[in-house]
Amino acid sequence: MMANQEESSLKVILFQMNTETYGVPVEQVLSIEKVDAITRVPHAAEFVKGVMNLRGLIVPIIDVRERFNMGKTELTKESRIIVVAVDEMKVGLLVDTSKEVLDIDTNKVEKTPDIIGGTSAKYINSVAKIGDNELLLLLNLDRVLNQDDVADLQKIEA
Amino acid sequence: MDMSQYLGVFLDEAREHLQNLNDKLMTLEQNTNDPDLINSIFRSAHTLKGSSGQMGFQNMMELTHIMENVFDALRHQNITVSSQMIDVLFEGLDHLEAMADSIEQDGTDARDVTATVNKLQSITKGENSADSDAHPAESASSGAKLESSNQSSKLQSGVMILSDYEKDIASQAISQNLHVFETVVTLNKDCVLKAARALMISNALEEIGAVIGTRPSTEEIEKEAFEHQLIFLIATETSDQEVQTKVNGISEIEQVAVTPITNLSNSEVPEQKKEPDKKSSDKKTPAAHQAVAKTIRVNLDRIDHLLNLFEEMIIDRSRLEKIASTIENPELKDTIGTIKRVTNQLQETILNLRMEPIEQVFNRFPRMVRSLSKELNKKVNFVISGAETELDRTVIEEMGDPLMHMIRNSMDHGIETPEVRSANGKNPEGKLSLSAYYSGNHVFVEIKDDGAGINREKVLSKAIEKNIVTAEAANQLTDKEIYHLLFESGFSTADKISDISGRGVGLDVVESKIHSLSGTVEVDSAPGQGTKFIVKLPLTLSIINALLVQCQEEIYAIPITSIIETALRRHIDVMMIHEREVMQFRNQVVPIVHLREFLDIGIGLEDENNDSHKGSSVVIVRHGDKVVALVADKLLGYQDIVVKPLGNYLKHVPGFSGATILGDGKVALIIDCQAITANQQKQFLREKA
Repeated sequence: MMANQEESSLKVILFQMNTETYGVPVEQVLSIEKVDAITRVPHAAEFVKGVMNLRGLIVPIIDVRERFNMGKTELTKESRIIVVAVDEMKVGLLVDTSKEVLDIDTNKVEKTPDIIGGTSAKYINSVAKIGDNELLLLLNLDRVLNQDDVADLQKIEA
Repeated sequence: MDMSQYLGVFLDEAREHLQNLNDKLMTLEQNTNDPDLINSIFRSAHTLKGSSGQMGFQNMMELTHIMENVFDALRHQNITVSSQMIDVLFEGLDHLEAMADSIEQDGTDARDVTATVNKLQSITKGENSADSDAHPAESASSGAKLESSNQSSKLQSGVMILSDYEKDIASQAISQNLHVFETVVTLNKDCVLKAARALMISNALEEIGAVIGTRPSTEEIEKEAFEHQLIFLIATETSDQEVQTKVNGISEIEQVAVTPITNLSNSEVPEQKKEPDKKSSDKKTPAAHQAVAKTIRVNLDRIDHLLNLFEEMIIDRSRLEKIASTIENPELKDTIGTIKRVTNQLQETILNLRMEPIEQVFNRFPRMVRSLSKELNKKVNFVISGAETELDRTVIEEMGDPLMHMIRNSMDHGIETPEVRSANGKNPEGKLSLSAYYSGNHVFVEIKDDGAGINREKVLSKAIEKNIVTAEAANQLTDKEIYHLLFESGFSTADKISDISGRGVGLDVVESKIHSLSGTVEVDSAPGQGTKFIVKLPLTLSIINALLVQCQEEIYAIPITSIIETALRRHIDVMMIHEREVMQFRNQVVPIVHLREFLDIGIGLEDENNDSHKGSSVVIVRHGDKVVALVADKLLGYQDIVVKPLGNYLKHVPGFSGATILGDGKVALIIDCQAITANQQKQFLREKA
């Protein structure tokens, strides 16, 4: 029973943004941090809030909400930074709050339905049903952190 | 047996041997008849063969063995050195280097070397077919043998046939950089207590090393079952002379002969005897006998870890200093003063650990120049100096490619063909020198050729043609600025495209690489006399001294190596040219850059409150020969900072070369003066047009 469950379950870190629940696979998460002093980086993309000292390591912090063109994240006591690692790259995701780790049944993970539109759609890998009526949106971090589109924008500006 | 733990050591040593072989082969080509040199080449190959065999790398061992056969034939003067032979040997070395690389990456030395092996074998066969030629040489060396046996006439068994056990011990000793000597001692004929003498000799030898074996055996010696001769095989740190002196200090000894042993297979030992190394006992020639400072090999990760820990300590040190400044406690201040002194020394020591001689990079160029000169039909005398100059290893690793580009460039575009040189009354052989030296906190690397020099007009017309500068702007450029256009991307003046120095990619890549190492590159040239590239590099990249400046609430660091001078804003006269602020600095008009503007901090504030104007300061920075005046709200003082990379995610962001962590744990960005000066230069050129 246990073995079976392990085979088909996925551990994700949950965070809340607006009314939606997002998830990042736990293997990609290094740590969850409280927001410390963030140093602004001039000339960086708008959604890059700056860099933070994470125990001696300099980590860029990006505002996920701004990345998704959903407005700015207000800093509160609950604000958290989810530090993720993708391809040797370490980046902190600024989110409203993050509390839970959840095991989800991979059987319940489905491809993103077409009806989810908007800018954020391309940053979503798949969706999973959790609870009664709640949907969990699993982030595609490669896309979130991919800056090709951003770099292009900067080139045009320059 | 699990060999993986020795793999690193093996590879290091293998690469050292390969480098050694490379160097020595280069020398051999010039100096074809130096028996010491050939011997040393042979020994290096032999050791490499042994260690690769031991590690189970069959292909590597076999190839080395075949190359060793060539060296062996050379040693016996069965064949003679030719340029073509050196080519093939280099080919072999290239394969061996590639094998070492693939062992490191995939753990296998598989590689198709058949072509090279065939060539090597046919070189060695030259010996067999020309057997009659080889004969005189053979008898010459056996003559030497005769001489040596006359010298010690009673040397019936002059050659020790080593047992497997002895061989094993001896090879271990050699691999630990000890010398192994065969010490042949002849006692006086009238010596009475032979066994006692033998014991004294044995004890004397044990004092300076370890006796591996004796002839006759220890039992036989104790029974005095020998005539007057004893042979001791010893492993020792000392030189053969010292062994000789030590044994000679015992009375009733007629003669002592000490012969170094480096080859351990039985068949080769007699050859050692054929050429009694008289020189080595008379003079202090062989390099192996030089007194070398003791070293250990340390995994680089450990040193990096040490540096990381130290960097954290530096950050905490600044934190302590900050705290101490708020608490007026003399004792605390004293202690922090001491900590500061100690950490400064510690810093120097740790950074020194990461320093390596630039030789590592320079080493690969003689061969490159050799093959290029063949390819281009040019004669080049390549001179290296200052190879012992030390630099941070990260800098060294990155410098290989840029230097290679510049050397290729000099070979291709700089130095003329012998015909042209002769026609211009120059020595048909060109001179190319590569040198490194220290100056202040920097290391300079110069690449200088005595070729045709840079054609100023050609560069200009090309630059105008390629829209790098406008014709109007071009008129105002100095010679140096014109030469520097070579580093613009998309620039190539070569009349015909060659494979050697590329197609206009190259020098711009060189410059960006050097910039990424916080270095600069300059060109100087005189028509008909040659061209000089001067690369200026920082000694180290990880901990630098910087000026902290404040703009509004934000703090930025400016590396001290970029700063020429600081001044108060109110002490300078600001002038306007083309609606841009400039100032006069040492007879030069220097553009003014407001950091607030550059950093996208509200500039309106300053206008509202004109008083803040007065408190602000000017930092005059330089990159290469470009100077810019930066205006900051406030200077906070100088501090040692630890440079941390901004990481891949922010690599597109211009203007900053890294970040550092301040005493309060906050991050401060390090301003990249190169980006600012380059930006100014572009605007300047654009406006001139």
